Amino acid sequence: MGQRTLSFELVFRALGLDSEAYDRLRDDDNPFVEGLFLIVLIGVATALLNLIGQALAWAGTPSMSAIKDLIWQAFPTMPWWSQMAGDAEAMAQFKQLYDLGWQIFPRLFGVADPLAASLNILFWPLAALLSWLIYGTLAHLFARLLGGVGRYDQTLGTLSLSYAPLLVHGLGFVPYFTVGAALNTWQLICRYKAIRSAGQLSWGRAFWATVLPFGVYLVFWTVIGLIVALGIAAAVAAQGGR
Amino acid sequence: MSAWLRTLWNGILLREPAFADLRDHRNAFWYGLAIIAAVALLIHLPTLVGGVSAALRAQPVAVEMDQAMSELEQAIQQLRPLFGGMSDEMAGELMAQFKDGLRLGFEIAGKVEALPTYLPKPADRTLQAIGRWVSQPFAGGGFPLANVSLGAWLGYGIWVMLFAKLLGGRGTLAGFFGATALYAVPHVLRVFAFAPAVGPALSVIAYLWGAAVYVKATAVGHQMSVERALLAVLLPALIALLLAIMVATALATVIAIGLAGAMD
Repeated sequence: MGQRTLSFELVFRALGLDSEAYDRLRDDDNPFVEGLFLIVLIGVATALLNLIGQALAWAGTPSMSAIKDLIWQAFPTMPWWSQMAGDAEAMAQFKQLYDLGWQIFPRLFGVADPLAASLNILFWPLAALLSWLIYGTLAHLFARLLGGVGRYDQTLGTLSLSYAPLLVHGLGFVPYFTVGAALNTWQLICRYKAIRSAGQLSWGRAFWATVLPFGVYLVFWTVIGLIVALGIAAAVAAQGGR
Repeated sequence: MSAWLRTLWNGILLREPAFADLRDHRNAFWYGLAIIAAVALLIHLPTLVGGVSAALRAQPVAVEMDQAMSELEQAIQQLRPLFGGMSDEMAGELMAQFKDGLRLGFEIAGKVEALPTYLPKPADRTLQAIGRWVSQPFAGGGFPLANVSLGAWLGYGIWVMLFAKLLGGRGTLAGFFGATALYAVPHVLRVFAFAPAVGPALSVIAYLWGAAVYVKATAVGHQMSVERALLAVLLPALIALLLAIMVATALATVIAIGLAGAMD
């Protein structure tokens, strides 16, 4: 049984950008396991707290289906309705689009949904794990290329501390609480601290090892975007050729 | 507590020990975060009070509709000279249509408002006001250093930190962020931003004063001259401005070429 390094105090210090906290986790006998535990804990705890806020906001919001029906009933009073009402096909298409819109837009605008929020108990830790493993692997590769001396498990272990700013999402127990992109900046700073500590790099090399994985993401999504665009263009051309 | 307030006071008076104390503190970043959160919550306190009192004495939608209609009438009267080429009859018809649409919107809003909810409406509106207020410290950045939020403090700060390092700065991240958080303190003046006439002037003073504190904090945080610190603070904004101008020029050129090609 290994020694437990992870503690509330360690996470607090890591959030406060204290280098010692990152060094302590780096020097743990199994930083990967400690990191894995922390990531899952953060994901589950914040999703649970967020669920409380979502439930309260849901309790204060009228039923979406009632609002949908109410607006549908108001349409006949609008001047354009009489023109469209005569065309059965146009009406059917309009109703289809209306129903589709009500499936998409409430979610898009963040209408409280306790069911979706309860799924986050599963989804948030999984998403965090995925992001941790992908970013961690890329960052480790770049750190090694730039002269870093840390092991893979040390990079992943220290990087798990950079997910601690996501704990702010736990304030979501206050209904209607929103958080901007500031958390991403805080997380980025923590990532830099983690990579610098794990690889024992100079500030400049640690900076590049932190940002280069985002360059890889950018290239990846650009290539995907180009493939999709080419696919759409080919499909349109094929249809036009018929 | 009094020592804490003294540090804040000395900070806004640009006294070096205040910045050095924060820079060297083990919990410098947390102190900085506490300053940002406290000031952000304080300056938005009037909005919270207004929001809660409005929630508790909610007006019926009909009253809101009458208010909106009369405000709309006034706005249209003021904008009337801009529709120079439009006849009175045409403008009247357009307005009638617009008002009908607005009236229908308010009618629907009134019916939605009347739909049953598990939580009483005033309680929900109060929670909304509280939720918005609690979110203020975590809001985005906007114009550099114009807001007091985590987004402004960290978002601009990482760029200033980078340029300060490139200019020979020797500060740590925690120490730098701890010291620079003092820029938020003069923004307390914005509590009175709602006051007519003096409100906007106070906001401008708060911004300029906060920026001066930020430059001093960068100098102390990185143990560099004020001139270099000023450069480190200004460079990210200047480069962003330059990039924006270049992108806008390139876009304008592409559009102009496209238009010229279409006309040929």
